[in-house]
Amino acid sequence: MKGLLLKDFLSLKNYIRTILIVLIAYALFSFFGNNISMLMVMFALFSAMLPVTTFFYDEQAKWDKYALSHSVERRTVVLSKYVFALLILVVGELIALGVVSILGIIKPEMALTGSELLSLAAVGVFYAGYLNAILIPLIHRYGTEKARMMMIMILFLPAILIFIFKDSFSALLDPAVLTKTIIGLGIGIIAAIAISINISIRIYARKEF
Amino acid sequence: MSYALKVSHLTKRYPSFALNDISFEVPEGCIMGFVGENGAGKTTTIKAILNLIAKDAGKVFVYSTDMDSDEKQAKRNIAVVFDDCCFSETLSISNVVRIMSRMYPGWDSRLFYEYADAFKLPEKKIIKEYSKGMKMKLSIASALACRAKLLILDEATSGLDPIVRSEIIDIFLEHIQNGQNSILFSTHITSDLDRIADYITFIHEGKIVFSEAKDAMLDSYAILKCEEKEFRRLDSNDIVGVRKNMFGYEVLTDRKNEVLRRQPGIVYEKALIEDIMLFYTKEDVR
Repeated sequence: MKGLLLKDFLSLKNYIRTILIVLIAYALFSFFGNNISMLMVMFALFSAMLPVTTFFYDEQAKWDKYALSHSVERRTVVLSKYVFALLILVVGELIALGVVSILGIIKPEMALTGSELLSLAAVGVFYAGYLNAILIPLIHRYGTEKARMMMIMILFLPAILIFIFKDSFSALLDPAVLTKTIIGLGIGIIAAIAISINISIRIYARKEF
Repeated sequence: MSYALKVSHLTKRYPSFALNDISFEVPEGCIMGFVGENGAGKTTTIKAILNLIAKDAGKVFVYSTDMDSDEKQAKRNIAVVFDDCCFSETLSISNVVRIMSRMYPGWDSRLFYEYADAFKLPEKKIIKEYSKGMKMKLSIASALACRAKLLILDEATSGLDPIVRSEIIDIFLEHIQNGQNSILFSTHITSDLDRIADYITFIHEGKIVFSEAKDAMLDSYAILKCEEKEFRRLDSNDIVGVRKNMFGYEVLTDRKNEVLRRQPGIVYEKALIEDIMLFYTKEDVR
């Protein structure tokens, strides 16, 4: 598992550097635009995209057949991608937290409150969790090329659903029930990831290389 | 005799191709050349051995460990070189070392750097900047650094020039010197096998044509150069393949000694692995 995770981080090191530059540029724009509230969500979104790229690199190099030939178990290959997605999300959100706090200190009028930060981080984390829970099994089944097309749909699906059910959605954001909403969504996402892992393991067990 | 690899009745069916009842053994301390034309089923056999594709039937044992019941243990004794490099192009060799040392239990970083040095693999460059030959050498260095007892090579020397190939062939020979290590060497560059193989397994259209000791095989095969009269006197069982030319017939036989006993004056020359492959696979020379 450690070797697989390290492989993903090392393969992506240049890509991560580029993304960080883009995010820092975005942070500066937000700073001068006096609205840093979206930073946590943006970092989470970009983190959510990285696992797909590792799949793409693996496919290009035909890495899986190599790893599986060298005593790595199929289950471990599958799990490593979820762990990677989680780690990169945590790291992304921690960096975002650091950036937001620093910007808040520089311009106190822009600083976010603890609950604001928590809600924004939750939105980002839930979105990243939802995205990967759906995307990873699809990549295992169809490969990155086809799954990328599906990703566009998956990315916009929440926005479409929120638009359709906007009344009930606003009710869920009422401060009185917000904590319950976050807990509910959190449980939902964890369940979705557990199901996603299960499906991925089944797909991958039958996959031929 | 103990076997490094035992493949027994391996079968895999696709709509347009099938591996049919593949059986062969690689004895410990030996190099088995695995030959056949493109599309004969060499890579499919290797993938089925490694459980990269699901077998329809058959068993695979690596140093007596059943691949189906204890795949992890069986694979701890295997290192593989595929014709693709398999490492992401954004990695450097120091990255490869960091990854492999955490992934493969027997990995020897010092040995890897020794080979990387001998193969002149640039430490600073990323794999994307490597030539095809350099990628091949990286794969070979990685496989050797796994210190696995059984090396499985799938067209591992095909991207290399003759000088480097010759060096690497020597390294393979060194690998089996301890008497336990073995190599399954799939290739269509049969001259490499003429040099180092102890056994030859020949696959054609998904079936094993033969699997035997190279010296015994080369001793029993010969290319007979016959005139019409001599050709007519040959028993049909003596003939594997025939090629007709302006001087008469070239006949591949796998019963050289019997033929020579019956027709002592017949002209013949030694058959190389490539000749045997050609006679078997080219339908029009039959």
